[in-house]
Amino acid sequence: MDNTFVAVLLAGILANNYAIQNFLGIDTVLGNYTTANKSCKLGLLVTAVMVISTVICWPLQTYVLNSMAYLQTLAFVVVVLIVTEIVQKLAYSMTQKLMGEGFVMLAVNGAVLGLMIQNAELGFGEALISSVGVGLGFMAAMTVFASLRERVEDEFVPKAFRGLPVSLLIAAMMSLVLFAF
Amino acid sequence: MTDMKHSIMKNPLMILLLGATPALAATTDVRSAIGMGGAVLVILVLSNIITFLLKNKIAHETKLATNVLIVTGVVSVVQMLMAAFLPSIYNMLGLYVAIVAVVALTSRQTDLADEAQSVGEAAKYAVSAGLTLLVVMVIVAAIRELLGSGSIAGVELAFLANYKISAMVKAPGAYIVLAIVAAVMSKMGKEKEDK
Repeated sequence: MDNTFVAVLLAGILANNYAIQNFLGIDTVLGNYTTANKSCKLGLLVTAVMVISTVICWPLQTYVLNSMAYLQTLAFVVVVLIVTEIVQKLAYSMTQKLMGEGFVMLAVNGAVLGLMIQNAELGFGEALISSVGVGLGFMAAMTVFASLRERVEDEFVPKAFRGLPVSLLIAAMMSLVLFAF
Repeated sequence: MTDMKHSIMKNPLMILLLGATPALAATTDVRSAIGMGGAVLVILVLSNIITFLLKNKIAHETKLATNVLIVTGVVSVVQMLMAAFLPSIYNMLGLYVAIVAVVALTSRQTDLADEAQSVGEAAKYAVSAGLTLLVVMVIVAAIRELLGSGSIAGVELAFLANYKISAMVKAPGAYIVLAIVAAVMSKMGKEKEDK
């Protein structure tokens, strides 16, 4: 029992990292130009959004949406939006310092929605653990990516590769590393 | 502010950055790239038109949330249509069609639609962004499918049967091929500017 929980947690952080390996929310990771330190805190807030959303979405799926599968996407996006707004209100001073008003745009991303859809097929305990794992994995992806980008100095990058291409190559190396797990 | 946003959306690399999820996830196969690119194009055009028509009816404070919900509604419609008429492609794409609802590209596009002067202008932004993404996705998918599974749009090429690079159909291949395509695009864009 404990072993499967650890396995689900580690899979979310490493082997099955949503942003790097499954491309869910990779646009958020690539488009996040804050420092590694700020990315780490933002990642923690996104993890909070994921866990709270799972607590709401899983019962919603199990007890209400089973007979109305066509509403799944709409219902999950509504829940994620509301939870994000609440988290932003609760941690207002923190998000203001980190992002200004951009936190909602950052937290309503592909990783959160993808996690909700995949969690719908798991048991509740497993879904909760996996949301913690995926959240920490997302935080790790954002932090590592931000600190790697700080180190890649633009002067040494060929002109055509500056900006997006070199970011994608950094992500490629990160995904090669994660293949080891 | 508006000028800056417009120049951002004219830059094809910015469109690729914002739409990185579909551009990376749905490009293992040319057929799924065409399906996903087409779906994104339809979703962008419809949601931009609806956003533009509703822009005076919605309070400024709730704009972000309502725009996301408009896009999600359109995505649900497209999901159902694809499941009904293109079930094989829909199954290939899995949950990534639903993800289009929260990709940064769609929210940035509805922002543009909010500031557009006419329906035509709002639709124009969506068509140009959607077509750019579609063309890039087909190019990336062709390279990845050719090198990774030795086929084009599902047709096996016999002479490539022994030279498949399995990394190409996995995550690293997606990043590397898209990076090279993006670099070529950026080089071409710069040459056009110089002339």
